[in-house]
Amino acid sequence: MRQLPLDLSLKDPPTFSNFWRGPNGESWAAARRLAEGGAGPLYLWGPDQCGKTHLLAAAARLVAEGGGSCGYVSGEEPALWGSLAGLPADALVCVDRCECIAGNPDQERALFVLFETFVPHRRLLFAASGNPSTLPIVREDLRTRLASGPVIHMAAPTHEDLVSILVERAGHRGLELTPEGARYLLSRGPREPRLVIEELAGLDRAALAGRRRLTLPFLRAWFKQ
Amino acid sequence: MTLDLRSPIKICATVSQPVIWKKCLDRLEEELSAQQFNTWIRPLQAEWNKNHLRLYAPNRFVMDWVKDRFMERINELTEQYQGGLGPVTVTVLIGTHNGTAATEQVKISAQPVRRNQTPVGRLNPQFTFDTHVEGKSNQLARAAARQVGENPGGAYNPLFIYGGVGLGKTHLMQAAGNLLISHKPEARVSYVHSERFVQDMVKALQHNAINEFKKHYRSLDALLIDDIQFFAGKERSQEEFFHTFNALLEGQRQVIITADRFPKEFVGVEERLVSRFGSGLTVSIEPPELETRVAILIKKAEQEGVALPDDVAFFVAKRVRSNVRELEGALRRLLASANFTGRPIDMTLATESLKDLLAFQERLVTISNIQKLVAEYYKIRVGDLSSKSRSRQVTRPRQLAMALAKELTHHSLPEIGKEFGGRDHSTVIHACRKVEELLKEDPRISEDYGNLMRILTT
Repeated sequence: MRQLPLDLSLKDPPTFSNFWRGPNGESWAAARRLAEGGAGPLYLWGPDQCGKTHLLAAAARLVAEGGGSCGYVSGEEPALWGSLAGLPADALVCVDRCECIAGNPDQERALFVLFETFVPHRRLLFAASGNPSTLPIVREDLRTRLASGPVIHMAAPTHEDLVSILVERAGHRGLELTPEGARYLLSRGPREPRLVIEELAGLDRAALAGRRRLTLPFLRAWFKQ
Repeated sequence: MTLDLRSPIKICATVSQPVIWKKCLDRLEEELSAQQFNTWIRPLQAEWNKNHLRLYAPNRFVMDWVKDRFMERINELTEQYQGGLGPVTVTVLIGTHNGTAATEQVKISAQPVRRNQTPVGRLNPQFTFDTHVEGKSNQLARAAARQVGENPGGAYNPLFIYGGVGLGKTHLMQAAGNLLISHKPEARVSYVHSERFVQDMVKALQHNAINEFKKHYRSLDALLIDDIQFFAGKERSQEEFFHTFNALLEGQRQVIITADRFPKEFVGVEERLVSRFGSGLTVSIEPPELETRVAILIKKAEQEGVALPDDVAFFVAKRVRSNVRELEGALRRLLASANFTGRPIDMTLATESLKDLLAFQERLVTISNIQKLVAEYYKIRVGDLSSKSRSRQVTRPRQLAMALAKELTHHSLPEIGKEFGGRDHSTVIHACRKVEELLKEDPRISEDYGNLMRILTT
């Protein structure tokens, strides 16, 4: 008979404490400093899956949990600038995927006005695929504003980094995942770190239901299912 | 990812589903702060499929937050408003749909809406003359701004400051405003970016509040209007500004204007406005020279409580030339590194922390790029720069290109000579010395060199 688990699984939202720093410790520290009340702007850039969105979400979460004001928009959702309505000038505003804004006159203007709206604090946290000099930004006054604070490059995790990340994130859930197990997961599951981490939630439930540890045979059986 | 709520919710057949969600929204708007509602609930889009309510969140962050913080309440409210008939499941997922929006979808706006944010007209108190660094490139503009701050509405009215981006036009303009207020605290001084002026005017027209708009601007003691070039092509705004401008000047109240170019160079701005812009004092701000850039870095570091070593200040200032904003960005990057690593600020740390920035600039400025630009600038062929020709038409551009290559790249003298038709390193030295002399003696060469340098480093 199979045991049905109670839904007591630990949630694992993006926070500063579960961010795998690796080569991106400086970005982590700078984002945290901003979230804790530091002045901005801060601009993080790097390839997909290097953890930019995680840091933005962690910063917004930290501020919101502390009762502060924060906003979070993505360049992919231009209609959502309105969600920043009513934010006070000292709010933390995170703008993800700035590369989607570059080259679009209306969106560039919106981002420019964002800078002018949140003076003098400018607690603005940006993430993009490229640095301000390489993005096809038309407005020079916007490009220089984006580059007016620390511009920090983030590196994507290597395969072995991903192994460490998985082991660590499993640990956050109270799961004991060996590096071999993590490598197996990475070879069979999705390659994107976020999706692999999401797999952990399913594994967590399955392990609880089967009262099993995350051994290789268990992982193999799980993937077969 | 979906979240299925386990507790069944009943639906009332007499209430339409969009109305149920609308009621939920009204209630949530009452219960939450405007900021919370606008940040987390307003972006949600609702879609009904039989008894299944799908809430689309714009991104993962919003989705997670809604699930964590508001699902329980949404669940309670849908249950309450459905009258206990029929089970309903609620799902939050990422995406959009074409159906009913959660709330009236905010249209793509040229500006984020701001209700309780920085009010129009508030000056940034950080922009003062004390925090401004004077150099050759801005001393006239600074003196004029100070004069205006001390004696508003006098001879320098309007004061028109122009120059490239990130050179401190806004800083000087606001420093004048802050100085004025420090002498006369009751003065009504308003700073507005020209794009904001246009947007506010459009809003005022839409809401039949144009008289209040006019009254606000025409009752000021000083109006500081930034980046006026954005008025180009906006005839209605120009018209309104023209009358505001006249009203203020007639009342001997101060107007300070900034732009990225000289008034006569405006395209799409009415002639009468252009001539008004130039009727007071027009001053320019140039990119700061090396010594000023160093002074800026040292002063900004001091403001952060850090003593920046001279060699590091020169290292950064030599490499970031085009504008002050990016210079500050480089400094903040360096300070962030020092803070993170706990290491002292020295040349090693500066080289490491700024390596991305410097590598990018070096990639941009190559001998080949310099040759192409110089050839284009002087309307000669790139090949002429490497030819044996000694005509003045070719020699001067060649000497300038060599000097720029020496200044802007890390190539050795023999390497530079090789790229210019296999010339000897002594030819490059001669070219650099000649350019140095010409910069002091010949204003035209000096202007050409400045222009080329600006294009290459911006």
